[in-house]
Amino acid sequence: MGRQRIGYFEDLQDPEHICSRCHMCELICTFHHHQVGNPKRSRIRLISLDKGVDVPVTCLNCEDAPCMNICPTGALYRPESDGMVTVKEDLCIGCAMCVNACPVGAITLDPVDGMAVKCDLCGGDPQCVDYCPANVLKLTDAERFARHRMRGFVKSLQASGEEG
Amino acid sequence: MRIFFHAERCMLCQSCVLACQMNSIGVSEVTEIPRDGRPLQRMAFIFSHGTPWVWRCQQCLSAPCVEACVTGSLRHGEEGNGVVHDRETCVGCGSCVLACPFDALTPDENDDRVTKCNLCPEEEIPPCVKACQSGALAYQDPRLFAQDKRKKFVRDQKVHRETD
Amino acid sequence: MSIFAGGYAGQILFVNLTDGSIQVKPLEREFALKYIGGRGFTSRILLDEVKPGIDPYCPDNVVVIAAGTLSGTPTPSSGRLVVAAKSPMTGGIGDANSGGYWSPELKYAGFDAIVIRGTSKDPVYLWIEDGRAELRPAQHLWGQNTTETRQLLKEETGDDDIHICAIGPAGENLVRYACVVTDEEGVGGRCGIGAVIGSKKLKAVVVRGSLDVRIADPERFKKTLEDYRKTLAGEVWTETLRRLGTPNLTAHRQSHGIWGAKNFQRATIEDYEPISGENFRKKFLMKPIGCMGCLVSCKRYSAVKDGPFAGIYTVGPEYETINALAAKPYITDPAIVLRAHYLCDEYGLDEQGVGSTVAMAMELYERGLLTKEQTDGQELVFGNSEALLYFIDKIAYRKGFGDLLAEGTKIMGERLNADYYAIHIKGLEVDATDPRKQVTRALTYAVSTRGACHLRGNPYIDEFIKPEEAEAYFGTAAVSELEALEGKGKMVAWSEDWVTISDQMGLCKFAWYRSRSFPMLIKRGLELAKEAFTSATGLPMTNEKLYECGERVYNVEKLFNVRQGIGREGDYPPARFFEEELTDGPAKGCKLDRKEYDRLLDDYYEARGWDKKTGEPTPEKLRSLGLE
Repeated sequence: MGRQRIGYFEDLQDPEHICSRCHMCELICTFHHHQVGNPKRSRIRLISLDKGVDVPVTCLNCEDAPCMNICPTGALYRPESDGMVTVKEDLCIGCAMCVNACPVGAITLDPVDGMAVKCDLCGGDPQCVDYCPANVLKLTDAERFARHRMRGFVKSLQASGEEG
Repeated sequence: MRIFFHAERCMLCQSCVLACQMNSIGVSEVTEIPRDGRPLQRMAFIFSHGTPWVWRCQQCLSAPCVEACVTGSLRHGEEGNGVVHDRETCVGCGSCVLACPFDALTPDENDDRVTKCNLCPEEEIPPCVKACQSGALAYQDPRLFAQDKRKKFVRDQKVHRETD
Repeated sequence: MSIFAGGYAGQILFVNLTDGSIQVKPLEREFALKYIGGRGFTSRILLDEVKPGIDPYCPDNVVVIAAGTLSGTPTPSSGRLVVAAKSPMTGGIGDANSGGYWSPELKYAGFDAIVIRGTSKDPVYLWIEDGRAELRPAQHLWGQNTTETRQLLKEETGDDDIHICAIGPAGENLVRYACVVTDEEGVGGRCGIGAVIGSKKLKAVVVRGSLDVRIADPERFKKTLEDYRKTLAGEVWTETLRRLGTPNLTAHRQSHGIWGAKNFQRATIEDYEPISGENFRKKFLMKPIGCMGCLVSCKRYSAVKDGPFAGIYTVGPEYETINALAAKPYITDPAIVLRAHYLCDEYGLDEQGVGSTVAMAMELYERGLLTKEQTDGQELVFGNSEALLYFIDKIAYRKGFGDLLAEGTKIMGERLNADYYAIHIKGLEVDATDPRKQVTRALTYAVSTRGACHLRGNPYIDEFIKPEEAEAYFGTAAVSELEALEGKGKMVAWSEDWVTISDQMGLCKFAWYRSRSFPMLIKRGLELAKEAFTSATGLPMTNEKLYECGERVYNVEKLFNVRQGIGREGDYPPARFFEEELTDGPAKGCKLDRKEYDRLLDDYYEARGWDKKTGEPTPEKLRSLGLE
């Protein structure tokens, strides 16, 4: 198993398998981590653009993670060699360097206690994946993702073969 | 609110540093800069391995400098807003300079005390941010900054897919 | 810090637009326990604040906006919002209910409710953020469509994570059935609350919040979530709703012959296929959309990709949209329906209002009671989609014949001497279905406190309740028989009180209050709702007490209506349902019987403990509910 992260898998051919903008991932994330309701503290955030584009964004768990590299105190680290980048809260000084460096905005400062917060995969049982009604959030890793893409590719070949 | 830096947008013009220094000696036009002026070093520009970076105080939420300060002249602003430096009580011991991971505190050559970015509270937008013409510097709430990045990420993704 | 352990934000915002003053008052524990939230708060505050007989557009009318109690917590489908005022359509209590994300955001911004009084001199909008509020000038927003209003506000604040509840040009121009539009997704349609807000010169209420909504007992709360999820898993309709949304009901209306098409002259639609839920899915659906935390996702996100209306992206249609804009004016082009729906959302018009008045005008035109000169030269016959689109514009800006259409069916009927063709109850147009086939449905529509409404009760319980359950709950097994009238008054009263709980809690009536099994209704709508309430707020509550809260609110509303002069005579369906039989479809020959209805209404009043003559709640009833 490679490095895991929460992936967003939509199927544009199937309307039921596209993010339905319900924000449940945000609600359940905040509830799991802080026992309150407040999507602004969620580690996964739903981004809504116009024309019905909704995509939940969370940590990509980069191999050469910029947040981890730039952290001056070592508060961001990988407990295991291929695990999730994690925040050690007592080392974090809230300098927001990681916020500055993250390419997707997946790490931010908690509006209440001010420390860096990011997805921690809920210790291996991600709640957003569990609750997502459209089943578009999945716990995934690079290898599985590549297989998924391959399968899609083969399917497309098959389809065009049938037509031709 | 903090100052954020988009390295990819920086054009290396260093207008920010100039604006900061001019502000520190109280002039608004380049032609008015006195020959013997001794501006404060509150912001530094470096260019390393092909990447620009502007060093400035990160306004950490549990700042090492505040903890290191022996006289209590460094303290956290109200509502967790920035790190405030009180020049009157500063003795220039340099403890904070040692503690700061960003080299954001520098000795003030005029009176042997330290100085740091104070986000120019008298201005609505800090002069350095105003001077930046490429949008590399942004004065934003960390949460909004992260949110903007997520939006950009989603938008880029969607563009890629549409052109696939 | 609020006195509540969770659930509530603990504060109510009072805004006086006349002098621009803003006050924040704490929410009291007793009040919260008695009225729960949402519609409970709005109805009680209106009863206290609105004097009898005032003009709905005068500064003394009060607009109350309240979030459901569970809004903002991770309770699934709990993001319902209630906007209420004295209605310009009925003259009685008016409330509009909308889903989406606005209501939770109000809680995150630190308020449970907003009470708006007075009238501003210049257009303003209300900005609310983290426990603070201010009025800001909105001259630049006045006259803008709802989408543009949202865009401008987002640019102005530099944050597109804000949530906006706005009125469109229709509200500004006091179209009687103007609605409030919350964000892109939600519309608080009925009762003309948008017009009241427009009369106050309030363009929008904008919220942004980052405060926590606490949960008193997280463990118990989590368990409730899990239980709720389990109950959803066994329901067939969740799958259907996700696939087709509420437009799946089109098939039901067609097969039962209860469309109410052509201004209730036809029961079925001949060329029904194009406006069926399946067709809307096939041609336009991009994806289903859910309100805050919804596990069902019944809303549609539709896009028109080709044809003359290509480029429309809109949330919808709902079944109501199809009923109002397709069945009533008898238009069967789905692209036209979506276009009309889009325009209604842009202008802030209630679709039922538009559909019903235009359909009524069409009937009058066909009957020769309206001439071409009166209708701006439009050939106003059923099926004329151009006329519908033409008049949506005119209604929103009150131009030409649109000025009369903008008054709604009741006033149009009075002005044109054609009361009979105005199909409304208490002034609010009959929506959703033709109730002639099922007298309990007619009763539910007619006694509904806000005027004809299919959401004020669950009249179809008799379709699936088992005799022993009926015996236990309503005292007679006859309730389980479709044709019988016995016990039906009690059943309707019960379902009204019970459904009121959903509006108080902010729960969705689909996701929580719909099932084909009676025990499941009780389990979800009462037990789980109570569990969610106690575990979130930490307040003591029992099933019985919660039900009583629903009943109390219903009585408060009735009291309000009686004080505003709506008595027993307001609780009757329109004459057409008694006089004319359905002429086609499976329900052919059905009509209401006046004697039968009278008896049912008596039964209903008796079950409610209301005076049979006046419909007023008796003092004993009020006392037993703690409403002296």
